[in-house]
Amino acid sequence: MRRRAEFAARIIALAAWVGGASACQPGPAVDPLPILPIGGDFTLTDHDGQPFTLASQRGKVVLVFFGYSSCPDACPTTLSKLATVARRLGDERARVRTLYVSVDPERDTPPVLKADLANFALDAVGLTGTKAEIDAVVKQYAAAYEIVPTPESAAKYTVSHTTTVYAVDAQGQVRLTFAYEASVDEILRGIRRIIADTA
Amino acid sequence: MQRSSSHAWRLAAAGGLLLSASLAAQAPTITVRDAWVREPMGGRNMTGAFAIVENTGPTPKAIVAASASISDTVELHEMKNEAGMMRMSPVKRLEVPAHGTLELKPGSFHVMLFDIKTRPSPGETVRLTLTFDDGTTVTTEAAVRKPGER
Repeated sequence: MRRRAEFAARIIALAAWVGGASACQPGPAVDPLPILPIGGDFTLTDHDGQPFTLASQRGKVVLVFFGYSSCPDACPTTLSKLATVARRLGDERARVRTLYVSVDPERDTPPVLKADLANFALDAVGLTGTKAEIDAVVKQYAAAYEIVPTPESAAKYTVSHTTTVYAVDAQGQVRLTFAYEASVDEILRGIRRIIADTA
Repeated sequence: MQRSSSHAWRLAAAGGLLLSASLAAQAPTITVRDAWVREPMGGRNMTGAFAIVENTGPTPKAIVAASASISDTVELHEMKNEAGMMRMSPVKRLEVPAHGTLELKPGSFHVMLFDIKTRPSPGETVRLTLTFDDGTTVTTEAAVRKPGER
């Protein structure tokens, strides 16, 4: 019960922050970005089958998002967009890492994730794990997903999932979230702000 | 009394339908423009087709099927962003309101092409046919574009 109340309080804090952010944009004065009450370290399995911890990425800006390999539209759209972001980052590219967390761990084995990511010009790490491990990370980031069977479609199933990209700073704290509709420019600006904040 | 007035309405409505049907036969009320197919993303053998469908007639219409030159498995789909959660689901029909427009676009209503036979590249076109609930069809050449171009 208490955990649920805490979770609700985090959501309210997040909503208040998102609302505030949109209300005060754009402004010339740049306040330090708040630390969002979501996220945290986790251990999953990377696309080479090796254990991967978020903690191993300290010092980098980490973009975390959830998806799945047979995702027809939203995930490849986001991966393509993040590939453009990476290209436009130029030299700063080495300071940014993208993590693609599968919400379809049963089908997304490390080799499947690796093959999927090979299609994008993006040095992303595909992450998978047991359902319990994935669910824990999804909860940490206040995200959600749902596997929906669609026997009437050639897709056979779809996975509804959060499409937000979470931007984690060099200390492992979530500082910004980018909505699905966010442009390459918005994401670039956000990343550069986090880099500037933690410099 | 109510009954006869409802009967009268039905007759009037039937008359209206006949009239609009005959008008439809003379002048098509559906136009499809700016049709495009997204170049398949990331090695996937499926993609979306999009267009602006305009209904200049007084009767609502609906797309009930679609076909494409590069795929034998074409479906009508809806993509919806519900508070950051993206849902994609097949739908049976896509409504085009009377005197209105339906925009098929990424992140919204669209046509899905599965099991693509020939991978389309930008600069090429794909023949796209939409079938409406009144049995009429509209065929158009959809330009292949890179993702994010529109």
